[in-house]
Amino acid sequence: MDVTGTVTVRDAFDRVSKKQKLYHSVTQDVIDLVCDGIQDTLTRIQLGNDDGVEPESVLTELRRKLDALLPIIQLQKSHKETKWSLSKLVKLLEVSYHPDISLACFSVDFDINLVNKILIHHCYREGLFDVGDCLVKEAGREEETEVRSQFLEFHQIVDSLKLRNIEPAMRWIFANRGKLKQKSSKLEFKLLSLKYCDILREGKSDDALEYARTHFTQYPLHFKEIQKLITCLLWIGNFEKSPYAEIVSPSCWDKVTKELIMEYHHLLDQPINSPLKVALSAGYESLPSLLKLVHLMALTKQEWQAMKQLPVPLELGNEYKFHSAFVCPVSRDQSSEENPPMQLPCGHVISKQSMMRLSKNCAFRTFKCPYCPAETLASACRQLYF
Amino acid sequence: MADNEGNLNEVNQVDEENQYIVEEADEENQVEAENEEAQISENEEFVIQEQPKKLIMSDVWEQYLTTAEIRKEDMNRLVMNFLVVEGYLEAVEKFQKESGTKPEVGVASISDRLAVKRDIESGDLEDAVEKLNAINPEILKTNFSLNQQRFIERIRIGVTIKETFNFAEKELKPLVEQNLAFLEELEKTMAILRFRDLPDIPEAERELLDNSRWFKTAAEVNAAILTSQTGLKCPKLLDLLKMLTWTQNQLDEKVEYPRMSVLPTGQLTVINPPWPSE
Repeated sequence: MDVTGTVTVRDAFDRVSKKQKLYHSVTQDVIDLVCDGIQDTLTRIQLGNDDGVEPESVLTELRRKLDALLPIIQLQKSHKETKWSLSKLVKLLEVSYHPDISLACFSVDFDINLVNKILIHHCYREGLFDVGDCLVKEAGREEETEVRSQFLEFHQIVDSLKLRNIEPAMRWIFANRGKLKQKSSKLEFKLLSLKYCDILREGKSDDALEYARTHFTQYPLHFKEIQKLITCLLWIGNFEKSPYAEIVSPSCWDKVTKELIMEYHHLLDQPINSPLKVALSAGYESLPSLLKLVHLMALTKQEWQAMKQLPVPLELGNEYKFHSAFVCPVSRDQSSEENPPMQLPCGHVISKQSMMRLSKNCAFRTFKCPYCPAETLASACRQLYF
Repeated sequence: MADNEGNLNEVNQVDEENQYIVEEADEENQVEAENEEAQISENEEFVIQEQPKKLIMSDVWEQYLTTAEIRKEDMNRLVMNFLVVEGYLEAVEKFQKESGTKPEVGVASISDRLAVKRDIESGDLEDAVEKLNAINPEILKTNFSLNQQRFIERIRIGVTIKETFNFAEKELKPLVEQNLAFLEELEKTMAILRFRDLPDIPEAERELLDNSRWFKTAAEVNAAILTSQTGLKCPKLLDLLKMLTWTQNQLDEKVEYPRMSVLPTGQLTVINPPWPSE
């Protein structure tokens, strides 16, 4: 539905654009002809004065020529065509896009400090340090200095890697060597390998071997990779036909850069994507469903505001799932603090309210598990924590 | 009746061994063998049904062995083949004088092959290469092990890195491109280049520089030369011994007999009939 609508709107827009160009040319031609005629008449009047020709006859001839052009009719036609296409586009837009998305908006009491923090972090993440600094000053949040320096370093590292410079990355790796070792990180060796492969691709076997002798002897865990990298020397100038075409490929820089980005954020205990970006993306994906819901149910503002649970599920991709949420198979209610998931002795899980209802609010009355023949007591159930 | 059955079975077995040794059999022998096989097949079911295993005494077995005709010329050729393959040069010459048996390849060829092997075993690879090229230039072009060892010797001697690298590019790389099975071994070898000094090489990789590899390479080159000259890798006697072992294992399933348990001496186990207590 939305995809089709988008394509249709684009087609209509293209049509309007084409017609506008076409009739702009037509109009311009008509006006040019009129101007030429007038100019010609003026010239002839001036010349006519010397020859004794009457101006009236020249003007009469001009009127006849202009009438033959039918300029009004042509201009009206152009205008009509363009207007028709444009009105069609407007109708299509009204059908495809909801003009007022505020209908699907929900009033929420925002925590100003939290919102400011999110915005500031987003600016720093995106490298907009000037904007971020300005926000920090206005919001009076000076404690974000550490985040700023972290992402400043991050951008320096990533920008350098794009230029095939591993110095800032290696500095960061050395500073965090202990933590990276605990995670069995291979970044250090991989960056050195990238540099070595660059030297190989330049065809400098002596430099490459010297580089290997300087750097590769300290990595016994990467013995297999080192063997292959050294053997690459034999295929300098002809890597496409060697068994190591993939290893020496420049595209490895992109792979290692992505890996470094992940490990950098992981070390800071930060998500890879900006929370603001994630929230906006999820909202963008959910908006069509919400608009349709509001439209179909003809909800008033008050009804929409009072709604606590959506009657339809919103399908977001796996990339937007961060925490587990338990939905009771009996009542279909999502678990909450007041209604936590409870595990029966047989292993099946239902919500607390369902459990109380099944046991008729008596801790010592046996009831049957909804899933299997086992009998159990409410007092024997345990609460689960996610 | 039981004696007859065992007799036929053993005669057949001995004939099989004999046929392997004798290159050409008489027509009469072939006819006899076929007749015997036919008789055995007729009686086979009866034998299986009547009793699971037949017992043959040592004296009876000795009689069967005497029926096997082994010509002296065949034995001599067998011995000569062994001496040639193992490279006992003087023994070859003496044996030729005594028995008149000619070796498959000339004494000079044996001498050359032994010289190559000796050079490799002592680590003198370049001399070995010269001699090998004189014998058969094709062998050097296809033998990865020898060229790998030459590469390693260059590292050991301390030849300039440039020259060592050029050697690998010229000699080892083409072999790997022809046969990727050598790639892993090449990677192991090339990895040594990342160390500046031999003492820096860790224990796990030092094995590549071990002298024991000379003997392994020498054996491989020796086999390659033999194959190119005679088409054989090892002595015929070795094949015969393997055949003997296989045959005895097959026979064990059907018959209890005096087994040749000590191959170097040809000693048989003894099975004597129990004397009656009366």
